[in-house]
Amino acid sequence: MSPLLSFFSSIDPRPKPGVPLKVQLSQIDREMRVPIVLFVVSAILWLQAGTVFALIASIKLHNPEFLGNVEWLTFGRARSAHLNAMAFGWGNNAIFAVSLWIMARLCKVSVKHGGLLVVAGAFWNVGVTAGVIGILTGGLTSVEWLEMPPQVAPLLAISFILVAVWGVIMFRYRALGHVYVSQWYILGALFWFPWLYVIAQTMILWLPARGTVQAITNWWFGHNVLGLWLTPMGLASIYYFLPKVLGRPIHSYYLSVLGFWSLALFYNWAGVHHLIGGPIPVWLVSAGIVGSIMMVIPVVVTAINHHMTAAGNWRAVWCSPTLRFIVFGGMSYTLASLAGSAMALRDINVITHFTQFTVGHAHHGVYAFFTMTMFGGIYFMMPRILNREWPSAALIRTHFWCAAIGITIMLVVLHAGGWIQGEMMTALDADGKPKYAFLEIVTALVPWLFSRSISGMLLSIGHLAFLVNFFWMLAGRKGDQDGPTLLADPNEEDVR
Amino acid sequence: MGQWNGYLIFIAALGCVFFFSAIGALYWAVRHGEFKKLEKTSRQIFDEEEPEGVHTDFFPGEADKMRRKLARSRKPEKAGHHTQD
Amino acid sequence: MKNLPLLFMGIFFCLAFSFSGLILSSMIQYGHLEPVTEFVNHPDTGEQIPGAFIEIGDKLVQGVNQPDEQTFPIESVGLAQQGKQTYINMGCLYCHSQQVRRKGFGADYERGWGDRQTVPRDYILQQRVLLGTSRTGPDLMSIGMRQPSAEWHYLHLYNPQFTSPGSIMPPFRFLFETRKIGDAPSPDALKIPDGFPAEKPPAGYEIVPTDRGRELVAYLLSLKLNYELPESRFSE
Repeated sequence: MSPLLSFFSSIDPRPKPGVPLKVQLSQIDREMRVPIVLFVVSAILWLQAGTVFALIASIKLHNPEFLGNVEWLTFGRARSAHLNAMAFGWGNNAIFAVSLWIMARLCKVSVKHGGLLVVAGAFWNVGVTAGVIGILTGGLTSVEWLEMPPQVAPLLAISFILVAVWGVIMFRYRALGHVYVSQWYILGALFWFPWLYVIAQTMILWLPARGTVQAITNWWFGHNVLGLWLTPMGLASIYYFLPKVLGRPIHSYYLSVLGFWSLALFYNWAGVHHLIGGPIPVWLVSAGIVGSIMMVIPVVVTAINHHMTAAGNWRAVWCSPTLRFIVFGGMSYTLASLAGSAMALRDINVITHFTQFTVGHAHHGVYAFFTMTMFGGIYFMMPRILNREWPSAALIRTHFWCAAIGITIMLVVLHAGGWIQGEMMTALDADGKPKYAFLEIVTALVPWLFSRSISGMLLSIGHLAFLVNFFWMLAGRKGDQDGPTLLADPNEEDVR
Repeated sequence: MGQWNGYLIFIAALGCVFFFSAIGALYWAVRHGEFKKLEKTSRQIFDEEEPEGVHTDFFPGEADKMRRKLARSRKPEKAGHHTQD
Repeated sequence: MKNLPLLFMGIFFCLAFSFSGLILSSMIQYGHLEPVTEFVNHPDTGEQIPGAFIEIGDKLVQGVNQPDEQTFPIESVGLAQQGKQTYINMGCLYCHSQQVRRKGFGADYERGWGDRQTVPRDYILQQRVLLGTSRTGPDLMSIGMRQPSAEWHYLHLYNPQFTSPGSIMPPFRFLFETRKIGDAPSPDALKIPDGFPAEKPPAGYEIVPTDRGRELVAYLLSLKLNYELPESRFSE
């Protein structure tokens, strides 16, 4: 056999025929254990780092002298470090872990050469670390969602592709012919993200496009990081875990297919609504508004589907840690997306644009929806990967309540504060002069920003509970076999 | 204005290409039975280890209690609505 | 759906469609924009008419940029260009936008942020376009006209409370240095207001901007919207 051929046969992740399913599944979990634990550990550490940066940035907004003389933590840098630590540190690592595991489960295959995945994951984290340090030390690019110095981009792009390739290999060798909707979302997102990233990096930082074409590219990219990367992965998790935990298939598979293609078609166009009223051609803005409004279709379709699946099973939802987070995430997806469509309407946008309302909306999507679904996925996945139970139900409850209440407070204050800010900004008196001086608006905003810091502290407590529970689990002994969330341990003899 | 025509034609052509390839793909997919047994796919997430109808996630240490509770509540009190948040 | 290439094609086309529709087409539409002069010499009368194009009959006649004529927008050079780097790496963009919306949409005009809306041509000479999406602070498209005093900017950057009490802008004291007064006080030494005794330098010392501070202020002073473009006039 030629070396090339033997390489290809060595990546074939299909289990040997005749092995019982139970053994297959635990074999999958065992082979993915090291890479997935690496991803989850990195994700949780990034989550803590991102939280610290978030608190610093948030406190600075109502108390500018806080750490005021530390150049590398000035507001613009701290908030960018927060965003990048969360999106590319926490978000991507969590996605790598959860989506690859869902993919493996659905394809009923595992990863061979998991070591390469570990190397790629390690490089990803080195890249993000270098990027965040770069932001803090003066490499900040001031391109939203692309803040890391361009020097780290090749490292990130290559390690991302190395990670994503395993998802595609698993898909290629899947055991079952038909493809479940979660697999579509994961596969789509694994392709979309590198394209978006490379195009944006090139057209904004390496070979900058002329004038405001940069801004259009920027928001095409920035919004699609949410729409074609975080959202599909969040939805893939909901579509998998919701029916899986309830033991009940998704209400309508047709609707989920419709939801996928309408999302793929419309979400791409929505980003331009960040430039409404800006120096770009009007027809582009209109295209962005149309795309944003059309997003109602996939959102409503998905919401109906999820609701009908969970309906009548609320008690079962409530007694599953996974589903508490997942269902919270699903509901937030519906609300955040409908709010997003509304915010693209010119009459509403003129108030909300440039205010904290937008910041609230971003947290609605990225935290209340995406992050919550990833929490849920990790709560389901880790016991199976590690073959042991979460050590503390109380810590899970603490995490859930702190996250749920914290983010709810944050959303309320940012949306309310942002709306007031926008109303004051645009209010004119009878003579056509601005009703409020700029500093009056700032003063009015401060109490809301202060409340946001309080809600952020609540979130931090939740994240700490998550961290403690996870490392406790990692350090703990092997659980007993009859726990509810565990698969039985395979007999070593059977695997051979 | 004259200078706008270029990109309008471009977009229109692009839209047509997109539209017709979508139609073509749909036609192809239907012809090749891609949409057959679609609903069956939704059951693909279950297997004999974690079959349909079985709850697979509980708070640690509460599984047996909750499983019994759920089994009891299923018939008489369907759709307990106390959990909205 | 079980066909990987087909699925892949669909996934690819969706993204390619929006890329072409939003980005490629806007490049085609206005990727060729050039700076213009403010006036066109009427070919018959020689009269100077504002704008890059004039209509003669039903024909559009474009003005020709003469070598000695100032074209707009103006490219920022020298100190201002370097100051923009500081503006970028401090993340000023996250609170300050640089765009003016048309009169009647929002209150940009009424707030005095610009006498006309900004249009794509205003940004064509910028290596990095900093439109911004947040106005936690005011828009800066024309800050060089609203606050033409370098001294004001130095004080404001050193501690925003000096000039704007209640502001939540962070202080940028690290763009300044406290040093011993030489033979004579420096001309740009900060005159700390009397209400802030704690901020005053010790006797015999003065606070002066560093190079980065000077560059940043040069950049802020260079932000002006004092010219018209054919597609955006002050009257609009």
